[in-house]
Amino acid sequence: MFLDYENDTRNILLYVSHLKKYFDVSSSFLSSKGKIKAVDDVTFILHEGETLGVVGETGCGKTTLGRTILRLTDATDGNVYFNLPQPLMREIIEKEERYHGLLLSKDASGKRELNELENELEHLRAKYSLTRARGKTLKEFRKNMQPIFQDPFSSLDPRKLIKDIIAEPMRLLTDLTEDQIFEKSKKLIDEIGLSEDHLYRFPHEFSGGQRQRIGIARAISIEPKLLILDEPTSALDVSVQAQILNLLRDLQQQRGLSYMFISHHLNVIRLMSDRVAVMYLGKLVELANTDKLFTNMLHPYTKALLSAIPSFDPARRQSRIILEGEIPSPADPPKGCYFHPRCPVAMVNCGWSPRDLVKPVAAMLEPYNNPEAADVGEVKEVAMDEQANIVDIVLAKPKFSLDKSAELIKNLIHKESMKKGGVRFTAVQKVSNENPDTIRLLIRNPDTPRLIENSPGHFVSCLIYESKTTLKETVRSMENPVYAPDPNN
Amino acid sequence: MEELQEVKQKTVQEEPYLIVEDLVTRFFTSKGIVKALEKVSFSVRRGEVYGLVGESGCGKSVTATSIMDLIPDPPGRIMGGKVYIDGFNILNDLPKLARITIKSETNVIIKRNKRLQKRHNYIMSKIRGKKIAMIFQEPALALNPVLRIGEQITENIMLHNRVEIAESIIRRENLGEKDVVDFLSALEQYKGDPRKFINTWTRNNAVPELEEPILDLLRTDASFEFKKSELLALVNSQKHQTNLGLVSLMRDYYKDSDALLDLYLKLSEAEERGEDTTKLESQIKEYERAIRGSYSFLRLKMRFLKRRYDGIFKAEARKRAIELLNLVNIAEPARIVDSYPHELSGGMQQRSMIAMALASNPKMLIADEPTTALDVTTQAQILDLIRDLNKVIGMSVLFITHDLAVIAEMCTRVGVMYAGNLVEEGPVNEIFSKPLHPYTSGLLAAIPKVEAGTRDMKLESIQGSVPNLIKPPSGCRFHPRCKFKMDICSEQKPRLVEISKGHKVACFLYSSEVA
Repeated sequence: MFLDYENDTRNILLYVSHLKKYFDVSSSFLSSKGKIKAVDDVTFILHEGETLGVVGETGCGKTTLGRTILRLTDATDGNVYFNLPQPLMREIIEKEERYHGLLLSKDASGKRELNELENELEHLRAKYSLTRARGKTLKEFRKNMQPIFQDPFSSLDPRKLIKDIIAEPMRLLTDLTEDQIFEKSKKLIDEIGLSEDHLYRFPHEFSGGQRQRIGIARAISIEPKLLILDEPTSALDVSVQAQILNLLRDLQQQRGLSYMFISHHLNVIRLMSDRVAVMYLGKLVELANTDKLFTNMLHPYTKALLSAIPSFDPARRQSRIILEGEIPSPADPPKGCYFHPRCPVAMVNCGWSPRDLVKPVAAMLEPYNNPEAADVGEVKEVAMDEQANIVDIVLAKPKFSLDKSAELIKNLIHKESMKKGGVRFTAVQKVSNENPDTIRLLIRNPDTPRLIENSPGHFVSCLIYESKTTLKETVRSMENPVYAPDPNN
Repeated sequence: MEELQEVKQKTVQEEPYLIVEDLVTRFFTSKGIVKALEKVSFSVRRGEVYGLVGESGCGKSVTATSIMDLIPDPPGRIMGGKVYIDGFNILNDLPKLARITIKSETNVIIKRNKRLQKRHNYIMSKIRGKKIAMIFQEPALALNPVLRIGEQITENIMLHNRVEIAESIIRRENLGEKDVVDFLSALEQYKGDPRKFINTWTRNNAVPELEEPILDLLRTDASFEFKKSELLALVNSQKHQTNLGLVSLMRDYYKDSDALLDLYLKLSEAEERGEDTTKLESQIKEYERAIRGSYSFLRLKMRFLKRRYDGIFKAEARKRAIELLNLVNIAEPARIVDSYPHELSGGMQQRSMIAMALASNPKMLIADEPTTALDVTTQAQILDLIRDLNKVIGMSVLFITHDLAVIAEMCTRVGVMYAGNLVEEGPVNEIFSKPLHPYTSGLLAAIPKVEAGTRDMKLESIQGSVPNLIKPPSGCRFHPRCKFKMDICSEQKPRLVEISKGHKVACFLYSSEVA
């Protein structure tokens, strides 16, 4: 999918392929409660000399993504290819994408090709993928990839002199002699805007901005190609932040560095990045050129996120989208598109599942809220089965026969679905009766959005923009609401 | 001095809720004296959102804690100035509280007057929460991790609102046939939304649970007589057979204790004016004796049967806590009231903090970086809530943040602080459209803006960093970083001068007045 525009001849430095990082949530010593999908199937490429901004809210997995690429934590699945010869890199990308495309299509005819590809890729992955690298190979990779951390206070060893802090990566990863290292340290400290006598001081003697400069000097000391900056200015004041951002841009221009710039601060991201990736609950939801993303964003989450930025411009404040609710727990994310429970433009197939419907259905049947529901009679319980995709309404004292009650509930659901925010009710596919006193709602199977290319270079993971057939289907299902004649009844 | 008189007269006309005058706060550390606040003056009008903005270490949080008189002592102390909250200067007895001898930067001897300090703390404990409340940057740290949200809110209500609670209990227990008939006939004549009417009535009479049953009852087509008897039964079901005599006795006791506070406030004011206070003092003594005399048995019982006696109030306070959680838009308040802080997300925790601050109906809220620890989308929700509370309840807000864009959204007036000084003050639009002080304009230029066309622009930054306040720069504290530095800047300190209407700046570029 990334080679769709092959005329882009820029060198590809980093290719992250379907990377996954899951954390176990253990409830006791042996049993595991489930997994937190911190990074879930993230794919992107980074060109040489480019800055890719990664943005998202707390807990969206942006920091874990950076750490996994750096191999500070081991990936659960997926591959990272970095700094390979261009033909090889392009070959790998082509094969990986073909492989994952085939995996998703579940086409029986492609099975043989799939096996062949898997064998080829297995060989390539073992040799080149960073997620499998060990020992010396890993060290080789790390020479070209350095991190800069958020907290300048805890990322410098308080017992070391600045000269030793800056020299450490050079001592570990290069063959330079002590004299050469010292000469280089002097050059570096000058380059980042401090003076030579600062080399003989300890970290506690510096302010936050100066410490962040030292962190940058340490990172660039071994001439890496890629810097992974994890919220580099979040702990700094505005005036100092501007100094650091300017320094980072100057360094990029002089040395042709590539940056992966992780931040929750959208204004900084806009200023620094060439392209921006937006993450939500471990997934990449949108990826585009900075200007395009900020002026012509597609994903509803991106729209809400960008509109929430405090602004000096009163006109922007008027069009603010205030999201309802909280970010769901990544240990138990919603079905389908993770954003659908908060999405202002959610559709019928966006992932509505029994847990989204239990409470609204119970509220619908409450005669106090909805006088029309009085006819159904008293409801004993509204139960759900998330696996089977059903919601069961258990009636205590049915006023009419079950058939009649089912009909009544069908009508209620239809009415409810016409109301504002009633999309979730359109996901009810079938209303049937189960003896002796239960009415069963069958919920539509949700679709899962994939990251697709909407326009050249603009990727979005949202069903609204997915293939036209899906859209048509949506429109159709909206026209045919729940009480359309059911052939089985 | 004349100048000061003028300022005073002006403020009396507009009657700001909070006036801060020449506030000086210092911290005595082993490395020297930190001059954290140097004569800061500003005022917050009733119903206004006033913003304080500046970088870390500029003294904006110290200003807030000084206003609440919560400066940790030692090492900190308010050294001078006046803070009027709703017309009362909380720093009246400041000079008498302690004798401070400064021998050198690191050798400071403080002799505290314990008796006066006790009185001061008593007065402050009544003003804090009741007249002015505060919310903090890290809700997770500000909340008590071992107490449920509900317990923390009720604690606040129990401290300040016992009289109100007792009165509503008495009203409820005395509800009779006549009240019910009055209510029903008034409701029939009421033209607006009946929900609102019912809500007010149920709240006033401490029967909030009846709101929905009453609505249900009205929906039926029963006769007036039937409705009356049903409602009467409902009301009676809510009565707890509380010992009314006891409740009203306790109400009187708390009311009289509150009256004692007024006497103390008077005494404190009289002392400041230098009047003869012997008469007031003897009055207070007499009053205290009278309270002790007439409530001696109650006080004894309350001491030994605390749990039982508090229980009467606690049940009511809990109802009010749920109502408050509802007010700050927390979904399912009845569940949240029983959860512990760690079970809530950051946004919910900050909402609970706001609910806690609102518990005793303060007229002013100090919000110290309330959204800095939150995500943008949550920040938008919380800012929306604070804006609503300001509009609906008419609460004044002192909004402290380092984020200029948030200030632009929230505030009507702004004060810009640098290194313990207020360097510029004015209406929000003016500060952002034509900043006067070089620090303000530098700060504005340093913000990455989200509007289009900034990608290729280089950010302007302010050289250097915030000075160490143990040895602050001489003269104007900004001069070592200033682009327009003149000779006078390092020698003299500029005064905050009004340049255009409401727009003040402390800079020699605009006025040569010396502080």
